[in-house]
Amino acid sequence: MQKITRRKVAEYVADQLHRGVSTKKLVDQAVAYLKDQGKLADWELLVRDVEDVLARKYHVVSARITTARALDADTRKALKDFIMQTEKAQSVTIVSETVDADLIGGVVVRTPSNVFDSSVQSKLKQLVATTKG
Amino acid sequence: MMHTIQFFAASEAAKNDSLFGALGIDWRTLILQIIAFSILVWILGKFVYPHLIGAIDKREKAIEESVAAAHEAEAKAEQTQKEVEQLFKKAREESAAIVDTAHKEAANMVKEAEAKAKKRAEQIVADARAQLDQDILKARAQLRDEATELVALATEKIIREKIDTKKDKTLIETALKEAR
Repeated sequence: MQKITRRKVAEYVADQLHRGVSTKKLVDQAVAYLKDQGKLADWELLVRDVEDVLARKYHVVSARITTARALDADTRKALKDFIMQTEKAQSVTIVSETVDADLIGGVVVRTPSNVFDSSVQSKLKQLVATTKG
Repeated sequence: MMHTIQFFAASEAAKNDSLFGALGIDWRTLILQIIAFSILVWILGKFVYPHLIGAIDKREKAIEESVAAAHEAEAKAEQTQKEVEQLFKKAREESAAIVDTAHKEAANMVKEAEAKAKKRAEQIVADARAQLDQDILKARAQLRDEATELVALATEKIIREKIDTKKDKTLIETALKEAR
């Protein structure tokens, strides 16, 4: 098979997703490509690239949310609105919601182009770093 | 010959009974004796005395020369003695000077060594002080960091207990509002 860059593959997948092509089909194609190239370990990178293309080209932002407690519907909506506003997105997809008690409180939002961290844990760490100088 | 003359004089003397005879002097014998004495003196003067006197003079000269040589040798010995004493004196002075110089140099070396040791000791003390100050600063910083960590841990524990689901939701909403 002709060597294609990961970026090109990501663009292809993003385009197909936007057109509404079956996700399973696209996943199979992508996995086959990676297997052929011997780069199955890079599948996460490919996913990130696809997200990046979707956000850049189609203003479809995917977000990964981490909170100290499970999200309720209101908070989820508020987060989506926030992401749409800050990323200037036409639509937002929350790809994953992770509960991490170590955050103590607040939220960490990860999009292809940004990371928004308002967790209590990070604030405490910042405080410690500032005090230590 | 002398015996013949004396015999003739004695026989002739017996015949004289004048003043000379009163004195017991026989003028013929006297004259003969005078003649004999003169001859003796002449012979001695001609043949004996010159050699004798020559020998005496020679001996005297030799003695004088010996005396002069002895004097000269004595003078030389005295001179040499003086020179030797002078040399000894000079040697003593030089050795005294060397010893004095050595003493001074030794004293200087001791002084220098003392000054060096003192300086080194002061340097060590200064370095130790500086090291101590640095260690103190380091310890203070470490203590401050550890205290900060402890405070953060304690704060974390307290906040964890204080924050419930409601407060967390409020926290998130506030953060989103502030970030807009």
